[in-house]
Amino acid sequence: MLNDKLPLSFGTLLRQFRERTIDRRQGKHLSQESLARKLSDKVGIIFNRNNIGSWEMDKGLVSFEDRRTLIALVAILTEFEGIRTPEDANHLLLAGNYRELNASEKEEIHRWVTRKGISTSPFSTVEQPFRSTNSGLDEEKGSPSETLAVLFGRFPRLQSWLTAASHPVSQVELYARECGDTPIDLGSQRLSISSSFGSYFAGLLEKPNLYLEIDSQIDCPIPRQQAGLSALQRIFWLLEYARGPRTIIIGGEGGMGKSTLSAKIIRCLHQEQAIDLILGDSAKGEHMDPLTRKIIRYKPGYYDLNSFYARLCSQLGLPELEGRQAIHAIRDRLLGRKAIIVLDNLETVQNGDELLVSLKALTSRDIRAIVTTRKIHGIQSLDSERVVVQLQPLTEPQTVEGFLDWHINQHQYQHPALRSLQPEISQHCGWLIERTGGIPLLLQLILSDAARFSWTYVQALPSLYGKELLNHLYQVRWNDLGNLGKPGSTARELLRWIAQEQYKGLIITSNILGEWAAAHNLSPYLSDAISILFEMFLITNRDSRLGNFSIYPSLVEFVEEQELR
Amino acid sequence: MIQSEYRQDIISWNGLRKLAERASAPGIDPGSIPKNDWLIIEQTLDHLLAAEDWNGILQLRQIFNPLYANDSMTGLDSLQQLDQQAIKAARLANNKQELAHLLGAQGHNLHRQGFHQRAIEAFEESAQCYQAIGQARQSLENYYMTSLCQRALGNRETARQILQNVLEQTPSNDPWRAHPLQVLSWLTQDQGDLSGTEVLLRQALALFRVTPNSDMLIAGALADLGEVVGILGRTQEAKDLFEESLSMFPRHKGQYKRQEARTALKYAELLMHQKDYRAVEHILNQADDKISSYGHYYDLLWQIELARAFVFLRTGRLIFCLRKMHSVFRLRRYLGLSNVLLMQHIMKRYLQRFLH
Repeated sequence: MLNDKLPLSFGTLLRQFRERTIDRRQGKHLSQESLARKLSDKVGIIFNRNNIGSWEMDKGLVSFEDRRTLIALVAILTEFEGIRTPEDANHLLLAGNYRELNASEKEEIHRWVTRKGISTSPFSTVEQPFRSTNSGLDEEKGSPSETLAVLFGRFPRLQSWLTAASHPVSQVELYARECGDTPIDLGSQRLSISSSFGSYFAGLLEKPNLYLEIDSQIDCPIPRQQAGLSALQRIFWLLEYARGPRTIIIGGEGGMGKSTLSAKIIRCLHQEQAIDLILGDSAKGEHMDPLTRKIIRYKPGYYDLNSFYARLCSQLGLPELEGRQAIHAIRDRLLGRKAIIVLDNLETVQNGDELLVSLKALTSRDIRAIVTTRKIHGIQSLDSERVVVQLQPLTEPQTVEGFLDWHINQHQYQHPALRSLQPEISQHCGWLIERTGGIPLLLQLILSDAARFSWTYVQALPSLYGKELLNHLYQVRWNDLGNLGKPGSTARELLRWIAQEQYKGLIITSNILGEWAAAHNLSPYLSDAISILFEMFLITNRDSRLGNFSIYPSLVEFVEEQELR
Repeated sequence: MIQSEYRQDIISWNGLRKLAERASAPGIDPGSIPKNDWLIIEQTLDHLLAAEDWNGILQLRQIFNPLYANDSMTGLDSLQQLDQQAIKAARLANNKQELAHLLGAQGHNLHRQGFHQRAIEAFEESAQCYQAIGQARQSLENYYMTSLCQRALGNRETARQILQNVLEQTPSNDPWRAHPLQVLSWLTQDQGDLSGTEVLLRQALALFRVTPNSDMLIAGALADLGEVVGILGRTQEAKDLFEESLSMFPRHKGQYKRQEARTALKYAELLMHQKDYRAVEHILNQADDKISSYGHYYDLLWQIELARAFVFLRTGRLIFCLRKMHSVFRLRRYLGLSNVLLMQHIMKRYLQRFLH
């Protein structure tokens, strides 16, 4: 223990412990800035060196309620050997009038430190065994099997659900189940991909732990002799099979996970070397006129074909061309390449659309296309040219329970109250399915409401369904933000800004958020605003290290509508 | 000038310098830098334009000089805009020195993209500007560059004449002679004199090797030499030369993609004649990816497309070959290049090898 005879303050002790840390990579102790960064990574809330400085000078204190931040702070200091015994940790906490570590918190820190490769964890002598069901600090960093072990330990239903519900009939596996789990390093294509698809989709391609396979959600027609394959495996096969359909159209209401599924497919095809080029575009609220260079605003989901051609030409290094000229040029240019053309986030796709005609001309054995859309009209589910995949709601209680378990596991650090719901999910599952129609995003939003308020609150929601319910949930949140004072209004401004920026291809990192807040004099409220948005499930962060914040396309549309009003 | 709304201090010159350093540093692929980071250029340019701050625009352009000099990124919209506006600004500020430099740089980039006629205009104006301010050497260097463009446009005699003038005005012990000698070697190869070409290229290479910071010049000359040696039938030696050329790029990773693709293309042509088509397609794909995203290097693109057409032809995929030829014609039409020149190119690059 450090200076245990002196009545040191929390700040002084924090500083001493920090200065005692050893960052072997840097060859020095952790700076305030690096400690803040590590803390932000772990907790999911942005801290900066000013926060650490203020704590160290005893000008500010971590809130008593924010136990998560305190535990993360202790864990990081332990990881870097600033805190060397549980007594050091308790000394620090008691100096700030916080309570001592309890057994589960010690174990949590022990697990974190062990996961970081430190075999001699000072917290290893705690009474409870390692496999306790209490939460870890960051499970994503562990090996898949370790993560699963912890996950199954904490959410016992998930294991049985994953094995029984998600692959109920499939017996043949042409592709490893992990196919598409590995993020694509966009590398030199990052600028091009994020400019075309926006940072939301680019983030899906680069994010770890992207997708939870739910076989019953994917309604994919079964070609002859392919009945033994799971739906996802059938899609992979159809897109790789030389005589398979050239275009896959993924349909489903907002929030069903169309973009996520298409990202999973692209990742798998990339991993299997079935494609070496990713091309395409995303329907955005605004486009640049290729001739006049002026910005044109469109209603959400609308797509302008000339923008599509211009985008493809640019991605292929061709001069800007239009109409048939563009089609011929792109087709000739792609000869000999293996590419996937993605058109994300369209409102409707119907038979005879000019878009489908152009895609038919562009696609071939080696060039396939993925279109995601809300509505599909008059297109056969499977023919030689196209396969239509409809994303179905989750209707089986066991499936929904597994999905919500997964959701809690993914988001518990950003919204700790979710954990308390875990034991109650099964008893609320039936009406949750009825109420949300089994739409994953609605399930997630309502679960976050239950965590924020209560089950009674969400049970009293008005009788709305599908898109109307989604808009209602967004509207209530929007109104709530209006009543939350400065942090709430900051959160609104933040949503407006992200909605505007994410389709321009901007990656919204923690630094960018900080700069944005500073430029708008909102820095003091930023941290609270982000916490509120996490708790309302209105924002996601796909990069715990640098930050990659984005919002769901349906929320972008909602926010844009608020602007128009 | 709306002085009241203009505040020079709100421009983050440091941020701009950091971006320029990062984007042009070896080992960084500028295409991996997210769009966020590039926006600062557009924002600053808008700001300076609104304030009619011509010197500020020139300062901004100067910060990004290394990126324009490299060979990966100049097709990016924001960089193109900045270049155009900087040239306008130099004219308006009557800054002949900077105008000459910018026009020269623009000429290089136009030539790399394949807009040879426009490049000639830029080089000629640049040479005149340098002449007017008494910088004869820089003027000569820009005049020399017109020979490359004239050759690309099929005006070989004009190109040769320019090179002779340049060589006459360059001292015999000046390593810079390597530049005109290299272009002279291309003209010699165009005439079918491969032994003469090899001699000239070896002279140029020797001079490049004693020139400081000349990695990319050496890499280019090695690729040319590899091509000629390959046509002469010394396959292993040619391969070694290509390997040596390619080995120089990792030190400048990401910054000279066009140069890298140029060597890769020539290497692929050698392998094509050894019927290693799988390797050829792989190399051509890599070369293609290097130049198609941010550089708009149409001149090299049509050559890669032509190489693909030959691969298809030699592997019996005739329809594919014809469609690739369409692609070649389309790109050349866009660049305003004649089909007679295309035939000459095919003669040089493919039939010469066949005849040997």
